[in-house]
Amino acid sequence: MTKQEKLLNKYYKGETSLEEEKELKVIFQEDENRTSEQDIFGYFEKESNIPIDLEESVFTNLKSIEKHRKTIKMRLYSLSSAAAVIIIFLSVYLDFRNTKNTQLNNDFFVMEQALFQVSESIQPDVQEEMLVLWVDDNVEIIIN
Amino acid sequence: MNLNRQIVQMTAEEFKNKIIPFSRKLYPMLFRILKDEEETRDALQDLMVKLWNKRGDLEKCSNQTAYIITVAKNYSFDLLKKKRPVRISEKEKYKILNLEADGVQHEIKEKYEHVHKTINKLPEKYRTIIQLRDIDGFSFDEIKEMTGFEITYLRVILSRARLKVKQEVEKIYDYDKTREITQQIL
Repeated sequence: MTKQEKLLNKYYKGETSLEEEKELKVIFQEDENRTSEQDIFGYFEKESNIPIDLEESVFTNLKSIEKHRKTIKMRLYSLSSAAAVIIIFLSVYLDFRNTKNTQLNNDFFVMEQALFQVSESIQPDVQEEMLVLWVDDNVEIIIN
Repeated sequence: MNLNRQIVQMTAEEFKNKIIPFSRKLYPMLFRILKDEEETRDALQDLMVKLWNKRGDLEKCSNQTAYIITVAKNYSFDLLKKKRPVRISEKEKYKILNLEADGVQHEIKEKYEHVHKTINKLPEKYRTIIQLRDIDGFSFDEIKEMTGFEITYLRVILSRARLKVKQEVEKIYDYDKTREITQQIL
């Protein structure tokens, strides 16, 4: 039995290793005789044919996707940091305005108080009850 | 913290050396489902992106091959579920036209077509296993991972499938030979 036949026997028993199967495929591709194995192995070879640049292109695409994702991430970071800065400034400004407003309110309140007191002080005394007896062009008779 | 990250995260270079080579093995399998080069490339790309995103898990995994096979298997099931009617791209059409124009190529193509039909007529279990082994070149461990059958059983099925294919293909040969003979007689 030739080596080829031995291998083929093993193959049909399902006992060949992957290396031996590769060997068989090569042997039968070069075989001059037309056998069923030649077509079967030829078919397997054809079906397992993959584009030459497959791995390379998969890897380069993967890298570019990753890069793209990173730039998106970076953009997201810068955007969110910009947003954070804006929020900080806005809150500081609002707080500042708020304190200013309350200050104004306080000032206003104090002023109001003062004015009230002033108006109070210049108010004439409350007139006590009096009895008007006579009012004339010349004479006014009042009893307190 | 930094050290920990280094252990968990696989570098691009490691990924290229360890995981990307699987695309060679997975391509024929995906091609059988999608039947179009462009779509298969896209699918494979997608699958590799998935694996890249899971590289943390992958690195921690004791059996990386099994993990990849499982991801690929689930992915191809998803593909099968949402498979659209086969669309022949312009490139494929051109290829087919070219083949038909060429006489010698045509003869070989016809022979391969017979083998293809024979394999497709096999029961599903037989078909899957012979395709995974003889086309994709998966090891028995990997096929076990995909199909769930024990290795001894896989060998038996594979043996039967191979013999069956030979037998069926040779039937066509006999048919061819008798036709030649009848032609000679006539």
